[in-house]
Amino acid sequence: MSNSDTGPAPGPVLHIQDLNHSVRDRALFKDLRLTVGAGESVAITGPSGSGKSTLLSSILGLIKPHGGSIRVAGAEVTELRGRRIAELRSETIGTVFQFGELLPELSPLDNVALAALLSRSDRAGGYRRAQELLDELRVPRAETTEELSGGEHQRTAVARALINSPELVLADEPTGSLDPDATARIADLLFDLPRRRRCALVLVTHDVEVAARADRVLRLEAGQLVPVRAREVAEA
Amino acid sequence: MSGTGRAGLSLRLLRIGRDAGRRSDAAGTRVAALALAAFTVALCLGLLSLVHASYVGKELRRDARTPVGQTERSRDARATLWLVGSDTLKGRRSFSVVHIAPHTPDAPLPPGVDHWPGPGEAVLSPGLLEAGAAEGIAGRYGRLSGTIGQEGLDDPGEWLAYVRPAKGMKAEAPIEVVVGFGPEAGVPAEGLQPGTGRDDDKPEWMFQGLVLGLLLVPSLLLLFTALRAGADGRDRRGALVDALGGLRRDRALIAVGEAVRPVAWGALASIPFFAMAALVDVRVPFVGYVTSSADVRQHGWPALLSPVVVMVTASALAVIGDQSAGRAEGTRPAGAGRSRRQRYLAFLCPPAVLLASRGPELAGDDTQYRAWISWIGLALVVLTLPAAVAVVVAGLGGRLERIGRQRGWAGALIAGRRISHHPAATARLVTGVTVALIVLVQALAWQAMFGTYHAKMEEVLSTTNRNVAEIGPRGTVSTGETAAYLEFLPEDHVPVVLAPPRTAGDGPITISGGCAALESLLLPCSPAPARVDVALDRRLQQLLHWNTEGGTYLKVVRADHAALAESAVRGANTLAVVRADGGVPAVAALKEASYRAYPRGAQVRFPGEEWLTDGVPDRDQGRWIRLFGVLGTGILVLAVGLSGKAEFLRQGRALAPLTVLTGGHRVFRSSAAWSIVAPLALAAPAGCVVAAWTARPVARPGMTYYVPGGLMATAVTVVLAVSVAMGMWAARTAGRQARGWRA
Repeated sequence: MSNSDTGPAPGPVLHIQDLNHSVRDRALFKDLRLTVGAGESVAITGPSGSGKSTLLSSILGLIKPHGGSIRVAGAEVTELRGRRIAELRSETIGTVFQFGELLPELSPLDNVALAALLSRSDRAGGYRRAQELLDELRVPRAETTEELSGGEHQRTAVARALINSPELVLADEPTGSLDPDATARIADLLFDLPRRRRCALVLVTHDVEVAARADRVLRLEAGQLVPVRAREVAEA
Repeated sequence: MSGTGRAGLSLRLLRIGRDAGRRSDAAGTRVAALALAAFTVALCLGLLSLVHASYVGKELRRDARTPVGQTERSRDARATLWLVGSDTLKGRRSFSVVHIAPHTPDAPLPPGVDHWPGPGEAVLSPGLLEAGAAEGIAGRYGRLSGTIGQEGLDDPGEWLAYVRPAKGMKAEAPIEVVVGFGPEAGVPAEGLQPGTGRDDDKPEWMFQGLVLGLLLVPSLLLLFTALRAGADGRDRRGALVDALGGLRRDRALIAVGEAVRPVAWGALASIPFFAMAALVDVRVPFVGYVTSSADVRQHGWPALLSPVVVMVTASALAVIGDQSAGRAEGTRPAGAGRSRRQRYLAFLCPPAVLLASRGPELAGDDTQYRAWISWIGLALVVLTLPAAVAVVVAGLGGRLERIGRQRGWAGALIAGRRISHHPAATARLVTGVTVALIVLVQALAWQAMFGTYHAKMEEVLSTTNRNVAEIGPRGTVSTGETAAYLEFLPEDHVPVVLAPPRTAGDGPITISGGCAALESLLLPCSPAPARVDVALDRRLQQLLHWNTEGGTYLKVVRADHAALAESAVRGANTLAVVRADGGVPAVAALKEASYRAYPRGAQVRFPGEEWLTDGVPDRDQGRWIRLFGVLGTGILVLAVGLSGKAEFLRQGRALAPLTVLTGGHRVFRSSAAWSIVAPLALAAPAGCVVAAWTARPVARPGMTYYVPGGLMATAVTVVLAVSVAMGMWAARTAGRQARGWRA
């Protein structure tokens, strides 16, 4: 199990090499490459359907790409199966989904602690840390997540992503359903992570203002990640 | 992680599952449905055990009371004289009346009889005493000396009588000398055993098949429906846990935690029923069969395991459903895609229907394989039907969506979209209705098969005038005994004797009797024999129809009791009794008189009654089928209702925001009409066709009326009415949820 005290693994946290994948004869990735180090944030933009979410799914091991290599904290994701991939997901990667994807029937605390439980971390400690994180992110206590506002919902999702002190945080359109104020607060929260927790952040977004806050902004275009200069971002 | 830690994690995940179950969509419905389904499945599994216990117990007691005949080696052993006869109660099945008498001092008594009845006394089973009370059965065979204990009966309700004739018995044919009872006393003599159960009861496999097909399968469908109630949310949860790095085991624990409590409640609620069956003899409603608590205690203990089996099965089904449905395939909520496996299953459905309907023909006639092939085919139909329906429904949903879009029908558009993307919920509704129809029609077909003979005989004999009793003394009887019988006839009852022509088809049929009898039968009463060419009285017509062959005319002879007694004991002559006023003879009194006059009594029945009696056991078996069929159909209707309710709640929640856009609830009504009323309205006739087709093998040659068209039309009408009611319920639910919705 990893945590912030032991520090990140040597080398890049995420290293993607020559990734190829196609859906219904349409090539989504063509020899795609990406390297993200600890404490670094990368924003990925691109038109709808360009494969941004598929890239995150591939990193999570939910989709098996047709070719190439994806290494997360030194582990080759494309070769992991069953328990090993589950361990990698729960211990090394934290994910914030577009609509939070919280379990509506559970409380915010349970939702966050569940991720700790699945990583086999200390049970009592998991609930304590979950509460601390929720308090830190100013998520009110509630019986179910249905009682939360959109921003609170998403902050809970961030708390869940952070509960296991991951080396890599993936965020798929984390502000897509939020108003500008909530978007700004969530963006603050996310981009603060690499600095405070020394983790790598890969964020997929359509929101140029959000993207502009990343250390690097990449555009997924014709199956490859192309750097976007700061000025282009500003102009966009 | 340490063992303690793992246990703690497991408990925590189970608890998360439990909490999720409490707060999920349609939680209340699912909890109630799960508890009810677990209860019915546990009862059905327990029932399989109890049926087996009953068959085992019966067989052991039948063996124990089968007499052991005397042999050269046992010539000096204590012995009992033994003769098995039979009797009937009016319109009911026949039962054994065993004449017994001690042959030696300390003669062995059959099981269940604790003392020798005195001469002219009888020992009757409690069931016979109760059933025959109206006919005065207690005094029919002589003075009642006691009752037969349960250890000597097939089941607590069996009808059986041991009679010790007043005039004693002689060790000569057909009377047997027996030296004991059961395997411990020697080699049992087959053919001498009392009771009609071995002939009347259907084989155990057939009864178990009924329980399986008519009760257990519907109960399992109810369980499956209950487990899948609100499945979308659960599938989404499974996918999320997968994406968060949860193991299969973690998801399994959450799924089990969600299901296990209501399942446990339901399963454990069955225990009091088993306890009751183990403590008291229970009379099964409608059928009238009395269960043996002793059998349940001795052989039915596996029934107590059924709650455990249900909990394990339900948990396993919950886990399998969760594992197969909830694999994450992306970081976005997955649409409910139609899996390849579902398509394969769907393609297997038509061959399964073919197997169920035509497969038994491959096995040839009169083998038990016919039934098994039919049932295997039916099981495959039930297994593959949901997938087939889902595929069809999804296709139709897509078409409906396009029509809705083209014509601007909001309800059709919404319903089509939902059906094509969430076909499982609609498929469950349609499957539930179709399987309910299959169960109903199967039950009807099987009942018709069992009851056909009796029904036909009833039909044939319905025109029979039953106001005449034929008296058939058992064994060889003397003129004196018959004369005595005639003296014992109740008041207003008069005898006649019918003698067939000396040569079949040639000469007169002779009918003798006193003037009262002859005049009652519209015959002349003259000192000299009279010729009558046409019998005018219906009773006489029936007597002639059933008892004589040929005969060109009636020769009417006036005779007194002495002459009648002499004539009655001769060869093929028939003694009959009518009431002088044309009324119904007092059959019970005539039977009782026969036991006073004749050593072994007499059969007293109306002409042709033996044909009707032969069909009674099958008719009674048919009652089990009707009972099980009605219960099974009820369970399925419940499954459809619960599945529907869960789906309405989910649909209502999804449609709630529309209330803001439309400002009215019309769209809810049209959406409900398309998504619920239309599929069920299509399912009703289609289900009837499938149900009737799969019931074909049950039909016997010439039995074309086993599924009456009128009944099928009624079934279709009922389903249509139910679908409209469900549609209105769904619209109301959606409307209520819309009113409570907040953006």
